[in-house]
Amino acid sequence: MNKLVWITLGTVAATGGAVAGASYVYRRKQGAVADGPGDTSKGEPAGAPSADRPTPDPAILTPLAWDGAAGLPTAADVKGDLVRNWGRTPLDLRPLLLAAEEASQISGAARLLAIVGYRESRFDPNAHNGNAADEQRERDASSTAYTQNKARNPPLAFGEAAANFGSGGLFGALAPYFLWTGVQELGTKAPLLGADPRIMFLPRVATFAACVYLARLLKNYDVQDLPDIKVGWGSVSLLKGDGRTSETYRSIRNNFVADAATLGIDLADAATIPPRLNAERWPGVATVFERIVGKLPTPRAVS
Amino acid sequence: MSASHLAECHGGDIEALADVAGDFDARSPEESAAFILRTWTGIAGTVGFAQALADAMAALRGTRLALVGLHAAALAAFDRWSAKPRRPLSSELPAVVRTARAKVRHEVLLALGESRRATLWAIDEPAARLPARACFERGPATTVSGRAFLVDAAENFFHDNRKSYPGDPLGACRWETPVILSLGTYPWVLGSKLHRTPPALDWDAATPWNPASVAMRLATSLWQPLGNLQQDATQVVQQYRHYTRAVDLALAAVPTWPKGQPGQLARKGLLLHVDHGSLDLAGINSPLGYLSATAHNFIIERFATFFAVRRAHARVAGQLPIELRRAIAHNPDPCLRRLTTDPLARGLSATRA
Repeated sequence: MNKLVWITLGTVAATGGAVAGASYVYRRKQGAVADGPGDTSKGEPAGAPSADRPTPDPAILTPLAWDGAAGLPTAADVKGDLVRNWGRTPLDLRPLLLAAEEASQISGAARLLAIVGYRESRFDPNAHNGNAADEQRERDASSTAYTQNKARNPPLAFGEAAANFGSGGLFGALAPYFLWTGVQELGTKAPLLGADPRIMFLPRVATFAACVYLARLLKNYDVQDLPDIKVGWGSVSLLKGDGRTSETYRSIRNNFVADAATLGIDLADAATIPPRLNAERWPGVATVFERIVGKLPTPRAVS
Repeated sequence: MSASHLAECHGGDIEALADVAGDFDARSPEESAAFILRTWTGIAGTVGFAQALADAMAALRGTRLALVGLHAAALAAFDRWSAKPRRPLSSELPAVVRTARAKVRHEVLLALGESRRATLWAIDEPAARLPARACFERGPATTVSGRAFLVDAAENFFHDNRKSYPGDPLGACRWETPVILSLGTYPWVLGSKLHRTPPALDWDAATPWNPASVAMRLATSLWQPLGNLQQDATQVVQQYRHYTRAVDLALAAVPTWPKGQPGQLARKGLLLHVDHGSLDLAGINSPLGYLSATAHNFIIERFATFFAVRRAHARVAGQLPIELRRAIAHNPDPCLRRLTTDPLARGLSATRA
């Protein structure tokens, strides 16, 4: 599985840095093989701790409970089809993904996010790359993301924690970029600026952020088909210039198609996932946040 | 008497179990319809035909069948949904063999529905006493056994080790054990296969045979008034207590909610729960096999629904229609039978018997 990185779709400086972390399953199974274009530790031995890099803050590994966090949506909360072309997507996650599609008004987003979630977390909302000793590379990526972008983005209440966090959640987001989600539209009123990075383990919040990234990708980059979305999820630089001629571009596309087949989602079923997605009806970050998350939950330490 | 029928006859744990499904007034068409809709909604959500059910319910809305036609409409929705293949069919099994298997399964289930009304919840029957001896003609296919159902005799979540009784007739197609099916918990009918995907949803349809449809009719009849009052509750109690003993061992290390970590499996009352995560992905490996959290909750809800319906009807036993009082009068459970002394019910049923 590739070291896939979201580009800085969630930051003011959308210039090509890494947003998403390595696939959870991949990291757990394979250790580290640097192959993503946004991988800042390319060339380092797998699992080797970087010099002068912080180790994970023990506090950030403590699980959090949340007050005010709504549970997963149910079938009654959405209007779309929960049966057709979902493959093996867990039944109880389908309403959440449909809610994302309905909130973002990006037709096809539900199945697309299912394929992304399958690769990035195997649908485990608690997937975390960066909490294990041999995941220094992932922490390096989040640290670099924070260091390189903090001057041009609104401050994060948990900036240092995010820098040491790595990535995680249903869609494998790198913590700093995750917390900066929506700053392009909302500036200092972006909803996650004051949040602990562990909020990405809440499926509704992770899905909100994924919607924002997806919309920005579709609006701002040359996305020619469905696999291109996953390429852009890894690195938008691959969608520009010579990027499309690279081996990484090809392998990400191949993996995306293979993931869809493994999951059982038919990419040719235009009724549920059009051949090209568009965000022309994107209602805005604030509206999508309201529809998917509502009020931001507050953390409560677990004893 | 009636409010504590379950506690008096079966114990406080069964009364508490029924509370999981809630209570309703069996004399009220509105409350009964709400209970039926709630139950079907839960089943459809777990099994995967929520959309088909919602469409069927929407079609009923505003019609004169809205209250009394819910169950039939839900069954029809499941029929349509289950008749469609949900996965590619293996090319190794010829259509003629697939049809033969569907036919035998269908006929066995129909026969059980006719002959085992009091013990329908848990079928434990020598294959030789079933239609076609529960065997189908497998022709040239070598990848199937010819047995219409999987062998499930080893100790599992639903029962202890089961062997044929000495006097049982020998089965064909190498049936060396009884046919064991937990129809009350359909589509999780095998206590050794409690994965998220229920095995009995794979009972393929081949027109005009649809064993999944028959099984669903039988299973849901157990929480319809007549089917419920025909079933011997003592069998269901035994099944439930075996299941909970097995589950308690399997879940010994699982924390009780609200202890435990967000996103991880926890016990919440009789059910399993995951805060902010997919229950569909959660489960426990145990010496008796894998136990899917979703399957567990479904099974508990089926037990709970059975006893909730029993409680609601026992409470008003004397006011029930003659058909239901007749079912009470002939139920094998003496604790239920004592609820009616109506000679008309006894006499009519005796005449029919």
